[in-house]
Amino acid sequence: MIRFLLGRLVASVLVILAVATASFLLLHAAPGGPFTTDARRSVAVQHAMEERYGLHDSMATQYLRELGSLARGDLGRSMKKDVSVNGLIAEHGPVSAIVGLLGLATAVILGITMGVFAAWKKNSWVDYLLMTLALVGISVPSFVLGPMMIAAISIHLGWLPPARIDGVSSYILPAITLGLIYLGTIARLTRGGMLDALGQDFIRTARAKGLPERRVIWKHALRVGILPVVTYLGPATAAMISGSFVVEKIFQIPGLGTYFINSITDRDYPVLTGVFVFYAAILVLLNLAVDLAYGVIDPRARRT
Amino acid sequence: MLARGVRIAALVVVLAACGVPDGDYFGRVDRAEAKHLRWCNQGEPDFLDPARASSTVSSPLISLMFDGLTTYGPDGLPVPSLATHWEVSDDLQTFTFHLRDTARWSNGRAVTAYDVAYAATRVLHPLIASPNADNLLPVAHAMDYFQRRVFRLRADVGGLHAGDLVDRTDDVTIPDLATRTAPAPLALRDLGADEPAAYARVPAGEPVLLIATSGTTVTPPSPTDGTWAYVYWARDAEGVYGWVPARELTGEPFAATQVHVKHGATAIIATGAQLAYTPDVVGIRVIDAHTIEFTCADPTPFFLATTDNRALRTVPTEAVSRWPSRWTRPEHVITSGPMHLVAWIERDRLELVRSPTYWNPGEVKLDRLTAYSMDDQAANTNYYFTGGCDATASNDVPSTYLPVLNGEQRGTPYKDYDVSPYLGVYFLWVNTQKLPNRHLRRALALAIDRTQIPKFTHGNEIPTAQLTPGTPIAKLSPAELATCGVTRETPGVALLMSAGLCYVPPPGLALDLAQARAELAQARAEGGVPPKLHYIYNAGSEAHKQIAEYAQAAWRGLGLEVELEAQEWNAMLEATRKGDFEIARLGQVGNVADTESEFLPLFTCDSPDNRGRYCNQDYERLLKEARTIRDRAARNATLRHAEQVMIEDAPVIPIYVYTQKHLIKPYVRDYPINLIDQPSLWRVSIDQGSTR
Amino acid sequence: MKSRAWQRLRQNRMAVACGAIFLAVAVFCYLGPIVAGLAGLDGTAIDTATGATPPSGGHWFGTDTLGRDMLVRVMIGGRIAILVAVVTTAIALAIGVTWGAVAAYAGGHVDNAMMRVVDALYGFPTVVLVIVVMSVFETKSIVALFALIGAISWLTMARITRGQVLGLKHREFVEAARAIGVPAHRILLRHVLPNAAGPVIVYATLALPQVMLTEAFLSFLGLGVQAPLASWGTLVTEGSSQIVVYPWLLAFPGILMGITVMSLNFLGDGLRDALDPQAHKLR
Repeated sequence: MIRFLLGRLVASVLVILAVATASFLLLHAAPGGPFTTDARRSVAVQHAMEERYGLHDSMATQYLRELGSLARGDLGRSMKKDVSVNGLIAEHGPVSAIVGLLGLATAVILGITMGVFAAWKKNSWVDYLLMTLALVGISVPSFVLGPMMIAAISIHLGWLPPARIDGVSSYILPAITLGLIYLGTIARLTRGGMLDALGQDFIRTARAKGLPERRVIWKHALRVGILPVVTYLGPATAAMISGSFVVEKIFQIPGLGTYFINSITDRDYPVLTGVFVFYAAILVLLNLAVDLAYGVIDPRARRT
Repeated sequence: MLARGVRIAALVVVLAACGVPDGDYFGRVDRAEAKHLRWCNQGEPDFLDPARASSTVSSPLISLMFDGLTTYGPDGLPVPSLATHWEVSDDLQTFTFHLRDTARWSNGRAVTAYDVAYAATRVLHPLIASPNADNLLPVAHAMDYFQRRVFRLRADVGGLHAGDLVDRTDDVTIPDLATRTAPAPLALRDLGADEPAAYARVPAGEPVLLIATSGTTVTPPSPTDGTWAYVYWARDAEGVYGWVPARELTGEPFAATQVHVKHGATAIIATGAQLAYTPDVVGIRVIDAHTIEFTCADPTPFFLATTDNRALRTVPTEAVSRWPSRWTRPEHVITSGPMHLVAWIERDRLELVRSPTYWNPGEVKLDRLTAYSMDDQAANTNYYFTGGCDATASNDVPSTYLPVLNGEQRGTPYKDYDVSPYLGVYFLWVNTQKLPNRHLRRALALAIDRTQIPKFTHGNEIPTAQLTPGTPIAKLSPAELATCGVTRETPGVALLMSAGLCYVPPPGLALDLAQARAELAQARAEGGVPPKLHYIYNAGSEAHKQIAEYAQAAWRGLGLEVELEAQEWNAMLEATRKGDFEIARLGQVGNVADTESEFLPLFTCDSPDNRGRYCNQDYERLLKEARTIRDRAARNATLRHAEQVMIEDAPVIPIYVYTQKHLIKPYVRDYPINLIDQPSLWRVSIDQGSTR
Repeated sequence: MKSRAWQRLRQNRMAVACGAIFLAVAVFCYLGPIVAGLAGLDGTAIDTATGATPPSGGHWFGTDTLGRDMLVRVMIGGRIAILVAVVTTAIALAIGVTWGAVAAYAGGHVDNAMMRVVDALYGFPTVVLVIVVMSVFETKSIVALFALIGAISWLTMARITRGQVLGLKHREFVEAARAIGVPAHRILLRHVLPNAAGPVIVYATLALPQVMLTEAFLSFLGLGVQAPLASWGTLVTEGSSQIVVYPWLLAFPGILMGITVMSLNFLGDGLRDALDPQAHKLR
């Protein structure tokens, strides 16, 4: 087990290094730079602004400088706002995490329940209704869903604030909007996994032993049936926690997702690399957690 | 990018909210708070430091917090502020400002001419790399200092005298000659303070940069015996500044470095020990604590119009020195303007309160101002709708809401919705190197019917074929018509400038299909028409795409084949900067109401902003000629002639004058909407229990 | 085996109906513009004098703000959207299933390495990738669009396949096949993959609407289909910005896209049930 964990640790460091390198190379390859502007600006001023952040150094120098600070745990300094990226993550990461976890809870609890019922009542109206709902959830992009909820609940009914995080009630709409994006997928994956599980021998054995159906479904079948969901949860959780840009934008939540996107359009190299490395680290950890969870949930997949 | 999706969303909002709200006003009007303006800004300010801020989001906040020689009047034109009055020399090169003695920083210290000089020289120091340094470009030696290319001689050298200014003549990379070391630790402190009052200590032998010394034309005199030195220590990414007795700086690591310099016709090789890199080389002179003089290299009549901008806003030396990049945080900031910052919650809001030390308290109608930093248009408009904010900044209405606010469905617009012209012009650059045929370019300009465009953009933009934007002549007051010397029937716009002046741009190439066909035939005869034209625009806005499709159709009508390409914004800026385009949609926004400083320089041969690579010697000559004309009316006539020459060559195809869209609750009084969109928010008042 | 699956699919009326609907939409989009062209309708002619008009006898779907016939624009938009979705999903399916199955079956270091590659790609800045590829390499073709979306859509597919195969590889029938010396690729193709197909197909059907949305998103960024050509994604984007005044601009492309997405999904469900060799034993 320790060898396995150590191996994964080494692999994780390599993954993070790869992400840092790729984001560095890609963004530097993209045309334009952090100080490209449509405003009038003299060559001297443009040059000085770029010089201040070492943008005239060779690519290799810049890359090594970035890796060097990364090795010290320093994610660099924003070129657009002159603040440290570590500070940005510390300040805005938790906001994204809270909204993300709330959304995740919504999606997992509702999604698995829906999936189990749909599989249980396969090909009945319950199944069709639930799966149609799931489909709508998947098909409607969050940039339509979010504003619709704002329109109905904030503007029309006036129950919840339409934007900003200002008190507990402001978390409700973002969490639901974020959750609904993943709810449909989770419901459908659960249904598929459950149908597979229900067809397997150990379920027939359990039924033959005369266990109550409820117990067979929720205890035995679900254990195997949610495996596809568990796989899916790794990336979904990371995406949610690190902030769904669209939801953060619609509800104007000061989370991390906005930096993720803005750093690309701004060509704010340190922010992009820093946030991506942070994101990659979370992802690697979550995937490790998923793999470990696999072993716990389904003993047959346990590593030796 | 994604913002676009979100904007779309906005539409859905209105729709889903059971159609369009009834009544005179868009949303709730019952949430006014006494003397408290809740303002929806249009995003998170990049910086509140006047030297570093470059976004339109930060401008109104900076003018609230930091006073300038002049500040923005309700109409956006400069009005006296720190300076009560000024003199302009006959040659339009020297400007002397007299400061009031009642101005105070929020820590009680008097605001003096030295503060103005500190702010201006700080903007020009290369260490700051201020995006606003160009605002001081006309000041003598400003750009040479900014590029570290001008020095003051410290001793007599090779026939030159101590004190002479010398310019570098080579481009060799040299170390920073201002580097100094000290054998003992340096105690960085305020000017004249005792050693124990130091806020940072530089270890012995650590290099520091000498920025300035006391007692020069831009720095305060030494309060003690002996000269003081203002140094920068790169302690960390932020660094720290401070004063130390100059005699402590004994080490000069680059004293022997040789530099080629010249003074007039005399070229010499000087060493680091003989050269001083110091801000007193710049054409700024503090005459006494309440008088400051600026000297420009050339006649610069528009200099006064730029004195309210960011580059000349005062900044507090004591805070800037201690926390060079964090000094605008509420816990550190010291302000000189009408309001003081008390909270800054990033990407959420800023809280400002009335400044107890501001010299003109009577003009400040608010006790408190909350500026929300939401950058999503739909969110801002929704927040306004539910009564979360009382007024919105100029760009907070998503295009999806425009038809609703215009009342296109219900017949009447909402009373709290205002559309006003903005000092910006939406245009198409034509690359004169890729499309050198003048007749082809003229044909392109003549074929577009600009009047159709607002019908599908819904923004009430002002169709124009003129380069310089302004107010539609049809909307001017009788007095303004007289100032501009036009009749109400005159088509086009006029730009009202400070000092009762008016600039009426030449007509430009408006729709004339017959003429367009003739020009195109001429171009074809000259072989100047490529088989296919290429038009780029930035992705993410429906309007840019529709305008592109519209232009494409118009040119197809002439028999021209046009290919459209959407590019990511930054990529497109880079492509246009490199001249890698044929036709590109862009725009130009002016910071001051003056075409000579804001719009016409785009088209000079050596301008880095001349994306179309236009170069016409007649145009150059006329602009140069205008600079020497003291009479402003005569000068405007020459500028108009220059613009005429340029627009007739069609290196640019103006489409419309931008508009600014505000939502303002009926209980908000005196909200200053002006052409340059510099709302002086301290003038706003809240009138509870009233409807306009 | 295959014919039995086909039989099972045909018994699922919902799936058959949805398949028919999808076919009808595809035919409408592919043949429609030709017919409309014969009737003198053109989706590119701009007429600002007309501007946006509601559905009428001359223009069944109305016209857009530039006066273009929406019927033809919707049909042509459908061509692009369907093509992009189907081809891209196929690419993603091929890469993802192969990758996931091989990784899981090989196990050990190979598995570890292959999954780390997937992790790395997950952390990859997709948007940057797209911007860079599209702007640096100046490829504006639809082929590039397919390849790009395919290249960024297979990751989840690979993980799901791997999860399935991991669960299957120690099952009795696989162990049995291995014991009698069946070669690995045969075990994978014959025994493991058919049993892993369920969740993979479910995910593939989920990927279809996702891909359509991704395509719309890229068009948003201006990196997809170039104007004046439009896909459903761009039409929905355009339409939604005008919905208050001209609701038909959103309604027609939106409804057609919705129908297509739904029918593809239910067809996918039907396929899943039909292909699953386990499912029929229940009945």
